[in-house]
Amino acid sequence: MAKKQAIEGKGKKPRQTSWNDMDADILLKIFASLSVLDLVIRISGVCKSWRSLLQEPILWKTTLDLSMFRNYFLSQNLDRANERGLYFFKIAMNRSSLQPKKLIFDITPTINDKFLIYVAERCPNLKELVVPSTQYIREGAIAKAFEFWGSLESLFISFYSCLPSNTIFENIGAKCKNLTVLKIRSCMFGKETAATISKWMPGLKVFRIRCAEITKDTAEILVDTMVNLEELYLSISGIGHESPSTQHRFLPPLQDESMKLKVTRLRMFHFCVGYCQPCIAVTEGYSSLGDFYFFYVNL
Amino acid sequence: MASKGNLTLKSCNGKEFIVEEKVAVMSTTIKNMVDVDDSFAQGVIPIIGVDGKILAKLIEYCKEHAEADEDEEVKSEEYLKKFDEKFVDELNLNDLYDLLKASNYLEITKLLNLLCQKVASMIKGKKPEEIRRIFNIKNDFTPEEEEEINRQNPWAF
Repeated sequence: MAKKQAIEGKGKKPRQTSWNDMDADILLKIFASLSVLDLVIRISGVCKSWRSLLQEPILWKTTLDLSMFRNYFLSQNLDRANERGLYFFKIAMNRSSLQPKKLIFDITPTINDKFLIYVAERCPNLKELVVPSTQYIREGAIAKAFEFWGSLESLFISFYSCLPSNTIFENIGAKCKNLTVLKIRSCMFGKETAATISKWMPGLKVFRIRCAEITKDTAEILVDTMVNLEELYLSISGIGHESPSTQHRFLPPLQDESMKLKVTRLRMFHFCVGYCQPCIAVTEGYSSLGDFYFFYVNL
Repeated sequence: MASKGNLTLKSCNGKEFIVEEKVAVMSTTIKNMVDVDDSFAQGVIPIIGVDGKILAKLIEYCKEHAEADEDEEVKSEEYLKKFDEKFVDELNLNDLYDLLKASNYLEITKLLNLLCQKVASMIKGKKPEEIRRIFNIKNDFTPEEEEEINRQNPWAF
């Protein structure tokens, strides 16, 4: 084989292939299997022709999943992690023709007001949004961000230990008239919040909530007042939260005749008390991203 | 002249290869030529812009895959995977470049995908200067542009 090559190459200078001007359609095919991170901070710095290809819409999927970069942006210093994440996002937006329809906004657990609002301004056409981290975001910023997200159809939002105020749902509901799917993770979830959601998000067809506990009254409000609801998922972690009002604890609905009757009008009703695999993954905190991802995809 | 069921492919530097039709039509471009014009099936099919060495490589690849498509038991998926790995590992940069262009022109989709994956794996996680070194790419940014790029990159934090 070596001999054959030597003969063929006889009398010719060793040829240098020029990858600067490799056919654009081939380069795009290669780039298509690279991550957003590779594209944005690596390909963009190689040469002019490679960089200019980043403007091709074909490279940018309609889903932007930032969760894969979490390790890259994690930092002990919260501000720094935020700054890095925001910077990356800005560069990605500027160098590409990225116009996501679905955003998994899981780039750093410390997303702050500035970051959220910037992303909202730059991604006004979102239909699906996943925000697993809101503990550093003020309610005012959430309200402002959702002003840009009027076309949203599906939302996952997680509130850690704090109780989300009802105003949040009022604000989101007032802006996002097309919202049909809402998934919430929250420690607390009471009657008033249920009533607010029912009032301000009347179009909801799918509602999933994972919370520490939920009373029967609250569940009844959801089933009775959300007229368009087709699927309801109640997932109760319950563990370690001894409620003083134990007598009002919500029973699995199938053991409760009146509740059983109410939920029959739904196309799908799921109730689980904190012990199934996805619930455990969440209850124990998400040691690995995989577990958490599993949670918000499946819950 | 190729016998029935065989096709003759001619490289741009005049080398002729007689291959089974089922091997040659792994290339959609050749398949279309043969389908629309009978004379190609009997005569010689010129493969423009592809030299003998690259054409031999293409035929080597298509032969393995055409046989596997025909009889899955003889060549298992695992066998093909190993063949593909070995095939791309043995390519030097120039071969890789030429094969990419040739498989794109001849529309040998499986091979094109394989080669693209190979190049992507050579790029993943590398810094721009490393990528330039691996692929012999000329840095054609002006010093000002380069400074701007470096300043913007998040790893500068």
